[in-house]
Amino acid sequence: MKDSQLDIYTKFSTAQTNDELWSSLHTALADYGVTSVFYGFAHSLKLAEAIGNKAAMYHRTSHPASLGEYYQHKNYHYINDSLPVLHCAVSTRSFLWHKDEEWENATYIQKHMRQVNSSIGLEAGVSIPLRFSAPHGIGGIGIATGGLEPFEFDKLWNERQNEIKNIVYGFDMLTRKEHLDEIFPLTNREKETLQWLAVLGSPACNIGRKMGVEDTTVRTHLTSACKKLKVHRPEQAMVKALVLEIISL
Amino acid sequence: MSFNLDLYEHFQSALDKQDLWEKFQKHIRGYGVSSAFYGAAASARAILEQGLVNAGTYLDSHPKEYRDYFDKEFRMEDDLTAVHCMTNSDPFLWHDRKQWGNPTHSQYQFMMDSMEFDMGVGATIPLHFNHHGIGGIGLSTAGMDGQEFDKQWASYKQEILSACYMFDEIFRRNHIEEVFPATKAELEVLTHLAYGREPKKIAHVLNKSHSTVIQQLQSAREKLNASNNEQAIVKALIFDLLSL
Repeated sequence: MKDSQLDIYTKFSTAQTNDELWSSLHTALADYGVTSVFYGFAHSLKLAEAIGNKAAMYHRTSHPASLGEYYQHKNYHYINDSLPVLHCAVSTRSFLWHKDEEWENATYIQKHMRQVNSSIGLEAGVSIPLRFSAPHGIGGIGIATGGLEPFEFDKLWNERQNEIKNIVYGFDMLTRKEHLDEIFPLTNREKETLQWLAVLGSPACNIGRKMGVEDTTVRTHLTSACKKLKVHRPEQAMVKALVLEIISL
Repeated sequence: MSFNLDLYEHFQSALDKQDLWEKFQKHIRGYGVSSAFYGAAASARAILEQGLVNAGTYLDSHPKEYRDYFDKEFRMEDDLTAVHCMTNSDPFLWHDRKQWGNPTHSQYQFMMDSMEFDMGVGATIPLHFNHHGIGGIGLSTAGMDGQEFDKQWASYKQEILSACYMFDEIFRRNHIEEVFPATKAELEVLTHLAYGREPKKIAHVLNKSHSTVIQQLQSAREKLNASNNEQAIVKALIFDLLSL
């Protein structure tokens, strides 16, 4: 028998690791003809606009590897290079890839990217925008149904889009609530240092006094926290940790 | 239902924060409230480290001699109602000794001294916002005894709570710029700092001189009542002044 929506959620919430959750997502979505998934989120839209998707966003994908290589190679990484990604950033409505009317005002690059995607089997599918920690956090999930004709997926979407959305939202929420430590593996001491940075501010001796450690230790923790959060400066690490709720004040 | 909508529109129509505060007080006076205190801050830790005045903002209509006495004699941690707000979300009824738990000597003294000022009967409603933000509304009903208050509370709890939550929402949404009057340009510079850019880089990106950026950061800190850039960023973030 097919799993009910509640069963799916229960399975998601008992996942021990991020990998297990990721694979449960694929199992759940396979019932809807989904063959591969792209998942991404960022703590700031404007930052993603400014420095590009890859640098600002956490992402994970099971789309064909050839697509990844193509993106890397061509340096196509800005938010507006991909219309579905851009759409997720500015709208909360789902974006059906194969609807021609969605692409009417697309730029040359966006149309080109669509062709590339179609050529490797990513023709029918949908991008679903995600939001968290309003108004800052944004993200999206793109799901491809490689084996379906666009009209078949269309029919499925019309009938069962709520189920698909529930699965996707449940996955996103649990990834951020339960598995963020695997994505950004900060130690408790590093989190504590960021916490005190947010409350007391610089210089490091403020924080060191509070935590009973040397300034140099504070700086070491901050540098390491920056690295793990994939940012360059403590201010940004602090903001990212706040928005993603990695630290709580 | 229409009652709440009317109140919402009434609060929405406030011209400034003082006007909103007066509208709120006038409304809850209908339930026997004689004076009120509103406080909101970036986080509980910030309040404990910097005090409420530096960590956030407040409005107060409690008797001045009461405020003066307690500011002089007690610390934040001595106020059971404040401590309650930092760790709970349900209302705290001042005169309900069951809610006092095991108070410290100072906390007990605080509650007993409050009664001397006829500030022993009332309720504190904790507020939480944007995951990290914290606050509370204290409502005093001087002249009422505990039993009268309990009766009033049993009948109008929902109305009182929704008025408080509505006030807090609208205060933070519509009037926070009066409290922290940072300009667009100052907030923009702060946002770029939150992106992890150094002032020199910010100057380059925004096509400003380095000294302008430094000066705008300083004035942002002043207007946000923050002693350094990190505190300014956090406060602006949690009070929704920055859009990342």
